[in-house]
Amino acid sequence: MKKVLIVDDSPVVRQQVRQALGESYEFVEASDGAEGLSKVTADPDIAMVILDINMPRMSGLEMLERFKEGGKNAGVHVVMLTGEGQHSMIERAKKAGAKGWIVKPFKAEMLSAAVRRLVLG
Amino acid sequence: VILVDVNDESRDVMARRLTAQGYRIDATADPAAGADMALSSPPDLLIADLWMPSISGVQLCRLLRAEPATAEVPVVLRGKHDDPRSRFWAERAGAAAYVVKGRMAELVRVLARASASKRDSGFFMQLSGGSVDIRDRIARHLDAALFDSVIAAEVRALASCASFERLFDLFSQFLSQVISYRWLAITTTMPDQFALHHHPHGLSAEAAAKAALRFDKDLPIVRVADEDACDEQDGPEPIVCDIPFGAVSLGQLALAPSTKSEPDTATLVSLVAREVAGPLRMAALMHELQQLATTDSLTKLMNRRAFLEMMVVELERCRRYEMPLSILLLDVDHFKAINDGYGHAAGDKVLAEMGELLHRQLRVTDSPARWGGEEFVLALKNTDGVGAIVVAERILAAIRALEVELPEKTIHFTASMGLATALPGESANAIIDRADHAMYAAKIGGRNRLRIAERETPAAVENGTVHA
Repeated sequence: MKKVLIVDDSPVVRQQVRQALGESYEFVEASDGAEGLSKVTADPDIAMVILDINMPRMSGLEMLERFKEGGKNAGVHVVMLTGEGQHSMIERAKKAGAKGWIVKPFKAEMLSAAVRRLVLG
Repeated sequence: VILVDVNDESRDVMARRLTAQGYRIDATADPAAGADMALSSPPDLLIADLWMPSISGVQLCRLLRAEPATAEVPVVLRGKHDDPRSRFWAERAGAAAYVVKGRMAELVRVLARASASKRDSGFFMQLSGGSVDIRDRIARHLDAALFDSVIAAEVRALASCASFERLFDLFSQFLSQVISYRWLAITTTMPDQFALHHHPHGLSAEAAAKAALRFDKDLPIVRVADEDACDEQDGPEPIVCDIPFGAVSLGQLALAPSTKSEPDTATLVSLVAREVAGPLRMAALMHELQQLATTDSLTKLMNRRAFLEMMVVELERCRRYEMPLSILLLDVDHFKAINDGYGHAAGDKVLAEMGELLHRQLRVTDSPARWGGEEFVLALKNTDGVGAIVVAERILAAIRALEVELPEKTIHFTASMGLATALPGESANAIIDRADHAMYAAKIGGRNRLRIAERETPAAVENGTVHA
């Protein structure tokens, strides 16, 4: 079973994501970028990260950039899930190596389709 | 392949034919839905009509070009007619091709070519879930494109400034409306120039700007100091851009953003740097032309035409403020002998050194000019006859003391001079004429001396009605 890390400071959003993706994945959760970064680097089984941006301690963009720095961790897909739609931020995420950008509130079936496409190739 | 076509019938036909060609087709009648599909799962290709209700193909194409997820997805636009304007507008929007409806063979060829160039990223965007609407996004991108084109047009319009100083002044006035900055500087080569705009309190601006542009020449700088610039002492690092004009670089532009500046400032600065190149070149050419038209190239003094133009203005001014104005006309003695004895190069050297001497001996306002041949003329502003005699004698003495080194030997020479002080209502030509007669009188009187013109017109003197 593929492991998905959900990083969001809102427990409600984390639960919505779990429900949207259903029973076919195993979940790990973190409530800010710093916690997310330490969890994903510690656990090689994580295949996918769903990442919020505006969080305390470390933002999702910063976590993404640190995680992917210098072409590292190319096999772990990161999808941003955020209320933001600002062009420059999207561009920054793409440049850093994110695979997608989903604006909240998301549609469950669209999120699960996107994740399925990425995780199953 | 995503196919957007508002007409159900033609969409079905197209989808069938393309499926038969081996393409997997997602068809929709709604341009917004097509954009949504493209963003959330970037296709190999998108086909749309040029003209569609609600969102045009051109707008759709500009959206896909601008969004990170679809920046590399080729767009094929279809139109009813093969008119050049539609083709131009489609290509300017970033379309891979413009194909006339009904020309299936051409479409298939274009599709094969466009889908052959594989793209990597696979980055996608889902915008539809939230408050972000496709139409809002298109509006924002179009607005940004319009903003850029308005900025470019406004900067280009500065081409009518005839001088670097005026151009920089207007440019800084304009740019400070668009960007909040601590200082703005431009340096050019050919000619070497440096201009700086900063807040009156921005004392460190000059050093910072010179460092950013690596400007170390000892030149007077063009300075604009006003409150259009922001008075923060510190802020983000300066942005430095080349000013390209065709294949050459005219110089560089540097701008130190304030902490209040927008994140896209760097993009905007590089846009204005590109656009200000034309106006800068134009100002340099106008200046050069002005110089050529008003300067005597040998002596670097004003030429006769420029002197007469200046005289008209000066006479008017002196009259208004009731100030005296004196004219000195001088002619190098035995110049023909120098030319004949040492050659024309020697004669030219004498004239050039005369130009330098007059520059040295005079106040900035005294405007020396080459009148023609070996004749020079000076306008002494706010100077009456008595004052002018002092100046004239000083110049004559300096000429006597001047040594011109020729290859064979060092020569000395002298000059004869006529002085006339403007009479009420007298024209420039009439004053110069009187000075000229006085100068001839100096020649006849033995050269190397000054003669003062009669108050009456030379004609009256010659007629014998007045004793000379």
